[in-house]
Amino acid sequence: MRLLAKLQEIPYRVVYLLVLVAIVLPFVIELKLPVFVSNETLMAYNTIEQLPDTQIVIFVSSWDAGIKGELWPQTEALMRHLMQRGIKFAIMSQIAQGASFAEEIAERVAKLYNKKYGVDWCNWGFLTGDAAMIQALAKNIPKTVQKDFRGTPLTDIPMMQGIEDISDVSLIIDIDYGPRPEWISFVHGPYGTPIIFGCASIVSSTLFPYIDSGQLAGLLVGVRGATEYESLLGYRGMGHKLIIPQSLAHLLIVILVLLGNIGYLAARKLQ
Amino acid sequence: MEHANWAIRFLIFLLCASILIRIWQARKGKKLFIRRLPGLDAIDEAIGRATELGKPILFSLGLGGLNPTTFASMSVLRYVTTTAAKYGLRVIVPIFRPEVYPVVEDLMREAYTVAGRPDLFSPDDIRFFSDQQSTWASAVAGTMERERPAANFFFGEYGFESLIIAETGRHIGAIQIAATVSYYQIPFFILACDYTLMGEELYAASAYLSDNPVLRGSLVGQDLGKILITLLIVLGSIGATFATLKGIPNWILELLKY
Amino acid sequence: MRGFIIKLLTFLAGLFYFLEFILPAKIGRYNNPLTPYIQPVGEFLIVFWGFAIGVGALSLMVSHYRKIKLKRPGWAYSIVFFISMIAMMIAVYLNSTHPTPKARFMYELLFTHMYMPLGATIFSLLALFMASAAYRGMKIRTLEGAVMVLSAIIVMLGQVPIGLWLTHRLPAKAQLPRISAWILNVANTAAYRAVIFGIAVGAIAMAIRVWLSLEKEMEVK
Repeated sequence: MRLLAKLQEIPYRVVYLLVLVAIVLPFVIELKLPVFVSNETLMAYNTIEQLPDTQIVIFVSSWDAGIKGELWPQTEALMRHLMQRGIKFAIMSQIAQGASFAEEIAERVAKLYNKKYGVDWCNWGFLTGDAAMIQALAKNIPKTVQKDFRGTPLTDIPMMQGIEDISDVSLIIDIDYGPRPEWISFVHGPYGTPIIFGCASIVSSTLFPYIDSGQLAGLLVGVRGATEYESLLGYRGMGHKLIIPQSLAHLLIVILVLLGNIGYLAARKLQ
Repeated sequence: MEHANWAIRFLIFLLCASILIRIWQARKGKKLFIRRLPGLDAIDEAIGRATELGKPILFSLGLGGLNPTTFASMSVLRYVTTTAAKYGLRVIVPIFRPEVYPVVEDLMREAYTVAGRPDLFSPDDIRFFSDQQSTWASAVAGTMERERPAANFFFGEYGFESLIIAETGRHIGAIQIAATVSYYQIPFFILACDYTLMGEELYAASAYLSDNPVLRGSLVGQDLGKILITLLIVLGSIGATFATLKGIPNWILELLKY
Repeated sequence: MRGFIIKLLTFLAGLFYFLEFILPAKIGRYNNPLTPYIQPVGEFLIVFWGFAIGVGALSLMVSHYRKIKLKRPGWAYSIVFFISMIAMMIAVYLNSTHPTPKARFMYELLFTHMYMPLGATIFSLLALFMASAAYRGMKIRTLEGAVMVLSAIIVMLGQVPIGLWLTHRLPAKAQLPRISAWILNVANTAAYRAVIFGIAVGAIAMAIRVWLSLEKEMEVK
């Protein structure tokens, strides 16, 4: 019983070492697990499947290096789907680093589908301001954006010809640690433009009400969402690679919680 | 929605009226009851512990800019700073949004002066680190490791850095009180902190600590507004259920559309 | 007098947004007179926030300069701060205005290969802290604690393929991903809505106090 009671006293350095092993192991030994596609990911997929190719998509990529692990695979999977369907999209970001990450991914994916910058996709760069910028963007895109990430005036970019306001946009995708509800309040609400969010898994529970109410047309949740989307598109990308270490880490935490509770109950019995 | 419809106007009127009526009643001298909040009662305990150990206090206002949440957190900061100043303690405030910096500087200077210790005020204790979460979190964690505060207060909006700073605070053995409106960070604060206030309890803090009749009145008024809106939700649910039945007059169905 | 002017400006600024929202888009034959000004006011706020960044950066520089001048403990790191800040400013400026290969290399080195991995490193600490916090904090002391631990285990396993792998032989409704989705979409969402409802009402009350300058933090001494 004393030995069992010690289970709640594992030093935190040992816990950290176990987490490290759980995360590194799948990169050494190849493991595969079946993927279950959730309803919210399927909604996002179906929304993009039904988009017309006459309008553009605004692809908001507002994540930085800290959350790259969860949101990079989502961004890549969604861009692949858009390019696969031949739907033009404009990248933008509401934080400084976001646009450059998205540009890097778009350039890589564009090579796979033979897509050209300025014709099939472009990058508006970093647009500052929250609700004020979103409201301004909805009313007048050329006036709010003016130039792309590379300094080219929007009027000189072929895919931006004739794009005036939100009525020329068929979908808004916001990939962020915690996507901003301002897109729903100031774009979906007044104009009815569908919105898809991609978020970190911890934030997902706060966004499910928007799925239930129909205000969101789809939701990708963390690496799991990216893995599900990749399986719908039929390829094994970064999502599939990262979900295994995440799975092992989750399993380890569950085991540690159980051990901690066994130790706690044993210690209580000893008293 | 770009503009309010009649239902929204009615709800706004209902809420504002309940708040303003209670403020008026409180100003007239009516005693208004607020239930005990253990987390706020523990503030004095935390400051006492810091006094015994002779260590500073760290008070974080979170990631918010100049919004209602940050103002509510600043009310508590004022209280903590005034009390800490009476015991000769430093209060270190890490800042995330730069527009908050001058307001906090002014607030703390005034708090130290009111407590009779203007000499204790140091602008170096109000530290703008960065408006990037990772950078700010590592700076706060580093500050905790170097300054070794005895008490940490986390009041405001937080993102993923909540667990990083709370766990670091736990490792250094500080007593920690958190109050956040960031719903998804509440579980992390509950795990790592000694006391956690959830959601609107942060807004209650300023009223609870200050004993100001205006603040107490608005707190009781918002509760009254909540009860009225909840009643409307219940009536709306019953109405929506009945609306699916046949034979309901058109004018009732039109009313239920709101 | 100064205090009165600030209170008046605060009230007028709040009144603008309040009236613009409360009034309909069309009042009789006329359009809402305040709506055309939403965009310019928003642009003004964006410029204002830009100045605020300058205030913060300036205070940071003054604080580190004082540390170096007075040789306070850790003053060497303040020198590192200035070197890093100046290097990054030069790299970004050169890369934007004179994008030569050397400028590009400097930018890539500092931003892509140093700053971004450092950010990812801090975020990755969460994995370690989460494990130690869960191991230490999730103890079954009460009935509520037991419900919390059980929900946490179901959701953690249901969110990853291991949950399906462990329960794929069970009927669909009893599989971990489905139960996890129910906990998140139904039970957790109800709790979230209740908390957010309270927060929203509290925020409105706080906003009224700020708008009407009833809040002590708005007082000008």
